[in-house]
Amino acid sequence: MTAIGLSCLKHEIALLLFFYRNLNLKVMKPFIFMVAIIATTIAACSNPQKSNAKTVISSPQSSPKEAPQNASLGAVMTHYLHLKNALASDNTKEAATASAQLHTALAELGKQLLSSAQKKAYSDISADALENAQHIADNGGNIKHQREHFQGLSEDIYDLIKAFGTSQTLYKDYCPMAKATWVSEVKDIKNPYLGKSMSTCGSVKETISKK
Amino acid sequence: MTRLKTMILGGLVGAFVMIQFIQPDRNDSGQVSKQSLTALYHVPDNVTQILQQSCANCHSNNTAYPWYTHVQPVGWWMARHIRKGKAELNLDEFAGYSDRRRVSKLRSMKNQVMDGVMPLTSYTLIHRDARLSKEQKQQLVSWLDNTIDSLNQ
Repeated sequence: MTAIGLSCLKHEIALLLFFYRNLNLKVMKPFIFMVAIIATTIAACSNPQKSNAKTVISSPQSSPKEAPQNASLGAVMTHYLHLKNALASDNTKEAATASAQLHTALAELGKQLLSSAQKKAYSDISADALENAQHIADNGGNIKHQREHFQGLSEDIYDLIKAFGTSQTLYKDYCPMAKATWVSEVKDIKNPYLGKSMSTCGSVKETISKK
Repeated sequence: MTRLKTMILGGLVGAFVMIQFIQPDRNDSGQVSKQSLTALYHVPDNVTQILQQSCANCHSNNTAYPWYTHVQPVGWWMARHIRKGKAELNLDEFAGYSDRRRVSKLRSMKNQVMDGVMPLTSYTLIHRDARLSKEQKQQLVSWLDNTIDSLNQ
C-alpha cells in the first residue's frame, strides 16, 4: 500500500466521521455497512506476502537421526535416492514428500562445518538444487513437471557428490530417451524419468566409489 | 426490504469506491536493465519480441499496465501475479543468476512453453496478443535449445 493510498484512507475516514456527527443514524446505516464490507475486503485481499510464502513440509528424519558427521551428504543422499525411487515407481505424492525432506536436508547442509572446497561447491550449487527440490515438492500430482526438475536436480546432486564424496558406492546413469542423468545406489537400471513403462532404459555411465 | 437492499447496495458501491484508494506499487523501473537476458545473450529480434509481448509483463521489472489494472481489485490480483512471476524468473535480472541457474531457468522456460503452461491461460484470455502461435513457439524453443546447448559445452 502506498503512502498516498494511506493518506487518502485517512481523509475518507475523516469524511465518514463528519457524516456521523451531522446526519441522523438512519442515513448513517449504509455507511456503517460500507465500513464493514471494506474491512473484510481489505482483510481478505491485502495480505499477499503471507499467502505467497511457500511452505515446505518439515522433515522428521533429517536432523536428529543423521547427526553431524563432519559435512557428509548422508541426509541429502537418503532423500535424493528416496525421491529417485519414488519417481521410478511413478509415485508422485511420495516424490513430493521426499523432495520436501531433501529441501530441508540441503538447507541443513549449508549450516554444517564445511571445508573451503565444499563451501565453494555448496554456494555454486545450492540455490539451484533448492529451487529444483522446491518445485518437485510443490508439484505432487504433476509427475511430468517433477521429472523436468529432477533432471537439473540430479546434475546438482552429482556435482555435490564430487565435492563431498560418498559413504556408499553410487552409479551415474544416463537415459538417451530422456537425455538425462541420475544417480543410483544400485547397479540395476530403474529409470526415474520414464517410470514403470520403460523401467530398464538407460545404462551406467560411471561408478562413483566411496571415499 | 427495499431499505435493506439500498443499504447493501450503498455499502457495496461505497466499498468499491474506497478500495480504489489502495493502489499496489507499480512494477515499472522505466529503464532497460544491464542485467537482462537480452544483454547477456545474443537474442534475435523475433525472439526479443516474443519475450516482450508474452513474458515481460510478469517476468521483468517493467510491466505495461492496461487501464483496467488501475481498477481494484484487478490491480491487486495482477500485482500478486507479477510478484510470483518475478520470483520464478526475472528477465531483467537474468545475469544475476549463477551459470547453473541460468541453464535451469532456460530449460524451465522451454518446458513451460512446450507444455503450454506459459503464458498462463488466465493471462492470454485478456491479453490476446500474448498468445504464442505455433511458429512463435518453435522460434522461442529453438532459440532456448541453442542457448542451453551452448551453455552446456
